[in-house]
Amino acid sequence: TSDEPPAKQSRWINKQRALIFSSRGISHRARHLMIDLRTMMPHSKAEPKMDRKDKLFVINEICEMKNCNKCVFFEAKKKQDLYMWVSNCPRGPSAKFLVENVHTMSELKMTGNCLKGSRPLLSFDNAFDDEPYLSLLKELFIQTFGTPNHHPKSQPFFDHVFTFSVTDNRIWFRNYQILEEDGSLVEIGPRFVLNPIRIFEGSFGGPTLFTNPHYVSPNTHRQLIRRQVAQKYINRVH
Amino acid sequence: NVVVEAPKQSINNVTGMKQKLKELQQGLDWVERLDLTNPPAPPPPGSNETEGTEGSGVAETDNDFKRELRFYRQAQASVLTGLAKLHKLGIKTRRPDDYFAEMSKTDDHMKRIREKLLEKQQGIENRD
Repeated sequence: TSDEPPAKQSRWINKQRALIFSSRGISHRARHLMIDLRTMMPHSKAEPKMDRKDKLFVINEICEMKNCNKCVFFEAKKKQDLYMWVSNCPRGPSAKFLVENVHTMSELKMTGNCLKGSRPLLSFDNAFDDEPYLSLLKELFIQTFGTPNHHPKSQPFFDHVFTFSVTDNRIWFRNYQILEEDGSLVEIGPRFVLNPIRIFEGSFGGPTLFTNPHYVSPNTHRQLIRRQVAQKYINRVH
Repeated sequence: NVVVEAPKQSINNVTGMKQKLKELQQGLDWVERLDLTNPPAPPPPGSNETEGTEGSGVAETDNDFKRELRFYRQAQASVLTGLAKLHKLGIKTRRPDDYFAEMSKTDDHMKRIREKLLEKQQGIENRD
């Protein structure tokens, strides 16, 4: 009968909450990517953009106020470079990435679709077990991007899969819709590539656990390109 | 008189990372996490693809088609094992046809995608 109190929902064990927000001055594409992440992660919370002059460790306090134990923070530099922090608040670890090759969900070439809030399968490349820093990132990604079981805003069906793959010392993210259960997929988007820069022991700070030797900062990269162009002229003169 | 900077020392604190990983791990059941680690699925029989050039560095990274195919295969292999695992646990995975809920992309957006696809197809037909 309806007089009975509703059964207590104690099945929701994995209480992950992720705060997704950004600094001021991010490009429209980055903003769309952020919104896409929020749509795909029902366990996420939003927060207004943070002032650029605020120190990053303030985020730990914001997370605490918002009752979040994971944070994805987008940081824009020079109005063109986008960095992404993924952190386990407040105890760490945290990782900083350069985000490259962003394609958002609103692009028309990706034809898949999925339920809003359905739990994604998380697919990882074998390379994630080979290197200690990748296994650490894997665990961080699982806890951040995975939707907790029985989350109130989640859907009980499985219709998409997140793919994390290591190629060229970068982590490539893809999101596919599961069309048929025999394994035919269509891409939903977004797409992005994460170039790991540094892993910190704490949340948004603390001792460094790892730096990527293959990382070239976008400033250096642009400088190299400019120098190559200049070289062309110098070669012609001499 | 250019100051040559010493090459930056890269840090790779393996013991620290292992310790942090242990700290981070929650020890929850697989169904709470849904993570899968696997190599890409083998190409379907009948395709004339050459296997064995897996992860051959730059060549594969720059070849959009090959690279995307590898990601696709990896997702495919995960889907097959993941769904089998879920079925084993007695969890339904398929959405019933009469179950409607909000989708990630709006109907309006999907309509635009269909129109674009149709337009593309029409363009190809017109050219023929």
